[in-house]
Amino acid sequence: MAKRIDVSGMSAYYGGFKAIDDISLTVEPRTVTAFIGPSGCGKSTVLRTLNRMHEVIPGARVEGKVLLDDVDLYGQGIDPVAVRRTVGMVFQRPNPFPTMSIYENVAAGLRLNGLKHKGDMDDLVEHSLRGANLWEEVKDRLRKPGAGLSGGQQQRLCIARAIAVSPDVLLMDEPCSALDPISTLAIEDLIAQLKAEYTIVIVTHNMQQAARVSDRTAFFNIAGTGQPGKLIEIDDTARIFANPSQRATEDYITGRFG
Amino acid sequence: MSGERPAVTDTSGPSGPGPDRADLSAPEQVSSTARPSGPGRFRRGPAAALTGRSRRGDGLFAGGARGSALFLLVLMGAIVAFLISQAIHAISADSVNFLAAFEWNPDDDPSVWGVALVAWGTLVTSLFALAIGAPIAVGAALFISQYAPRRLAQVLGYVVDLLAAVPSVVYGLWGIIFLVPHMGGVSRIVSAVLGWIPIFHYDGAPAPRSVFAAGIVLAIMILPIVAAISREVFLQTPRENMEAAYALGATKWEMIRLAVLPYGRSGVISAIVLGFGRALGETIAVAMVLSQTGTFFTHFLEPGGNTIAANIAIQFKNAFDVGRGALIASGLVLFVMTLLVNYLARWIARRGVISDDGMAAGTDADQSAAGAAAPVASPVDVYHHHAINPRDAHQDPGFATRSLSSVAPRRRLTNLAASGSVAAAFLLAVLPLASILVLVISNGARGFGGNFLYHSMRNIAESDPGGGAYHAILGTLEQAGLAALIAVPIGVMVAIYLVEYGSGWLARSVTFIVDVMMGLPSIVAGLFILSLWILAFGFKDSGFAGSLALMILMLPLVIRSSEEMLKLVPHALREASYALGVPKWRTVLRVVVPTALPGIVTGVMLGVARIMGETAPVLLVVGFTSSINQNPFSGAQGSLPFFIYNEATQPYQPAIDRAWAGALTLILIIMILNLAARLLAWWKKPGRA
Ligand SMILES: Nc1ncnc2c1ncn2[C@@H]1O[C@H](COP(=O)(O)OP(=O)(O)OP(=O)(O)O)[C@@H](O)[C@H]1O
Ligand SMILES: [Mg+2]
Repeated sequence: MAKRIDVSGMSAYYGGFKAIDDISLTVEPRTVTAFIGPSGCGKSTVLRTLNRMHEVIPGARVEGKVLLDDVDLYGQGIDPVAVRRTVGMVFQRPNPFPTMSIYENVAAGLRLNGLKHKGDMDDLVEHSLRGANLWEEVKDRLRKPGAGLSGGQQQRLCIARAIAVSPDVLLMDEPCSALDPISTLAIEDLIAQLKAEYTIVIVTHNMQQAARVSDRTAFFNIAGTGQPGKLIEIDDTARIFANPSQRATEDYITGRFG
Repeated sequence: MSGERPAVTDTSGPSGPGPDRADLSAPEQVSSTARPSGPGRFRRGPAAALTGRSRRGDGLFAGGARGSALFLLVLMGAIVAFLISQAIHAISADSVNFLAAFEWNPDDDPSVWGVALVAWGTLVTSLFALAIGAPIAVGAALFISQYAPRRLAQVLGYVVDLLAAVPSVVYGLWGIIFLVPHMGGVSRIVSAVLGWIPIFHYDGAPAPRSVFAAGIVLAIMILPIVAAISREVFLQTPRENMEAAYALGATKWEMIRLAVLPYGRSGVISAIVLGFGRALGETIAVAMVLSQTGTFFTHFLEPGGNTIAANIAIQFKNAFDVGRGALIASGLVLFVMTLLVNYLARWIARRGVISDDGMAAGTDADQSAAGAAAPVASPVDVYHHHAINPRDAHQDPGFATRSLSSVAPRRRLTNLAASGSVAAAFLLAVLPLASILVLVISNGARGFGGNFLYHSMRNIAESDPGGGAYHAILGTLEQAGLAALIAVPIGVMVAIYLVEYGSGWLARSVTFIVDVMMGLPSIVAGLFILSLWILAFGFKDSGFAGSLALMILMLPLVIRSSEEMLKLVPHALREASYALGVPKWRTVLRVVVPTALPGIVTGVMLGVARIMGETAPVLLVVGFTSSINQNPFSGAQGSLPFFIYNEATQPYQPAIDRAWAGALTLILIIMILNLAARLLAWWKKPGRA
């Protein structure tokens, strides 16, 4: 079930360095929200706080609240591992597991979690690969290594892997930045389809991509190096690109900096 | 951008915590039925709750890793504490200063002994080894890295690596059977030139088993390791530096002096110091070549001398209470000496660091992990970084000569002489090593065969031909196998602890301990098992006792190589797994370890090959038998290195033939393991699939 994300008063740190300062935003279920902003402004950091991947980095910590349908992900008794099963993630570089086949990569999320739905597994793998628009291309070589696919196919494999565990939210950190234009289009189409079932947050440096795929757009910025990143504004994508309320947003979108 | 808090047009109101904020399981189940489900869609059960389920597995696994690390710490602590307690007893019984006296009669009444006597011999033999071996090794490394054609260089490098795996008992065998009979002539020449220095006085004894002979054997033994590391260092010289030198009009030798040598200096020095450490701890080859004396000696060409390690190996079984304690005390002194030397090597290697181009753990996402053949432990992690100083070139006399047809004759001559010396060094390095291999193969082949492999020495007198090494081969395989069985799980868990969990005092101490264990002389490992397992606990000599000693030697090898391999696993893979909601312990076991597995297995195989050739520790604890004993847990058991040692020191030709055949067998087993390990590494190399 796609879920709603409510971030309120959230700051994120790397050791003593404050990377994100006091951010609040809301992401509605079954929408695509794009994070844009200049390099180093903390888009990835914010994204990674949404499934508690941030704290994987030694010394990294988060203050404030991130609510997933009213449950605080940082509340007491919440297991980050369980959070990540509910909030999936796709990375900038495709990272299929090199020791596993295509099939095993898709099944990995369940198998690694120790779940064995023997009969269901084949169906699930097919369903996930279809969901990632990859099935037709790989159905004859499911037992081949996942690392043998093209970059775009690998990225769709990673998306299939992420949706196979039925997350409620899908986070994507520049999922197309390592891909060619054709593969990028394939992923964008896929995002449009996945929107029907998932809440999606995508980080992108590509303004056209943000305009094409997202319903809402959040613009982040930093005052300078060493300063924490801040959320400047979040609004409907059409509004952000046509008529942003902040000057900085307009400057960034029109390419005056960043 | 303004400094004030930016306006955020869409901020959710304060939403209070839900009624059931700690557990989502109930609403989740309801809602997932409403979800559009495709065929086989995975329905999450109560496990989807956001509350903790993974913690128990994580806790157990982290506990196991931490426990292994603690075990290592306790083990080393126990070794040192126990050995010290044994030594103290003998030290208090000593009637002279236990460090300074040049005498070794601990079991006399009154007890008279001092480590100085054996320490002196240890230092002298090792210094001889260094003086002879280091220049040759560095020259050979220069030849392989700078002069030999690329193809040939690769093959040569490979051969040098394999030679480093030849066990020391084989060097000892070569030394006593081949080298010592020729030492009379060599010593006469040396004394004719240097005889005016008292230490090079020579009384003309035929076949002198002298400190000089032992030094030569040690020099040959440290050649491969020093040459291998130096070659690596020289190969790392940045192309820009070399081209810059050439662009200044340097000859090849000038280029080497300007670019290669300055760049490699600290690495090479540390390799030499490391070789020195090896020589200090070497036991069996010295014990075989040297005829031991218990008095102070200064005539290094004449028979006699002693070293700490050889003294322990030969004397321990015959020593009484105080004698054993004294030997243990000398072992501790050796331990401290090698420790200091190894740290010196490391310090030299580190000192030269300007730019830290070492790998930062876990951040090199581009490097796929699937196991490039990493050396089990390359002591020189980081190398010097020297930019060329053009002024050096101009200070070089004759460097600035301007003629387009040829360089100045003096420079050309120097270049030629240098090339000649480097090639000569290479030949000098190759000749003895080739001689060893040729003799092992030709002499060994004579006695080698079905009869040798399938028969023991039971009821065969040493003076008679026939018999075989079956009992010894079996024993060595069982002992090494058992050692691996214990060392691998513990070692891999410790490596996992260091890479995946380690931080704080425990990780720091374990890293330190592994460093220390890396340089632990094998005789000290044997000494520990002997005095604890056999003398203190009262167990009898057995193959298993040998396994325990070998396990202590194997642990650091496994930890180091596994650690390197785990560090190579891209961080992105761990994150991909975490992002699927996989707990850390499963991520480590199912994603990280499988990715690193080929490399880990390669490291383990190289480690097994290494311990199989260890003689000193088994000499002390497996007992002696000429019969087959299949049970490593009870009764004396044969061992191949011990077999070679024993046969080589018999005064009968049939026994010596058996020693060669044994050496051939041992080298074959070790080489097969090495080749298999490297093949595996090559086969699983990323990008080959
Ligand atoms: N692992 C880390 N340790 C310390 N600081 C970090 C780490 N990762 C990011 N930072 C710092 O946090 C800040 C935000 O980084 P982040 O990666 O979130 O930016 P970004 O907006 O995603 O940039 P890009 O568009 O280049 O991906 C930067 O100043 C960065 O240097
Ligand atoms: Mg980023």
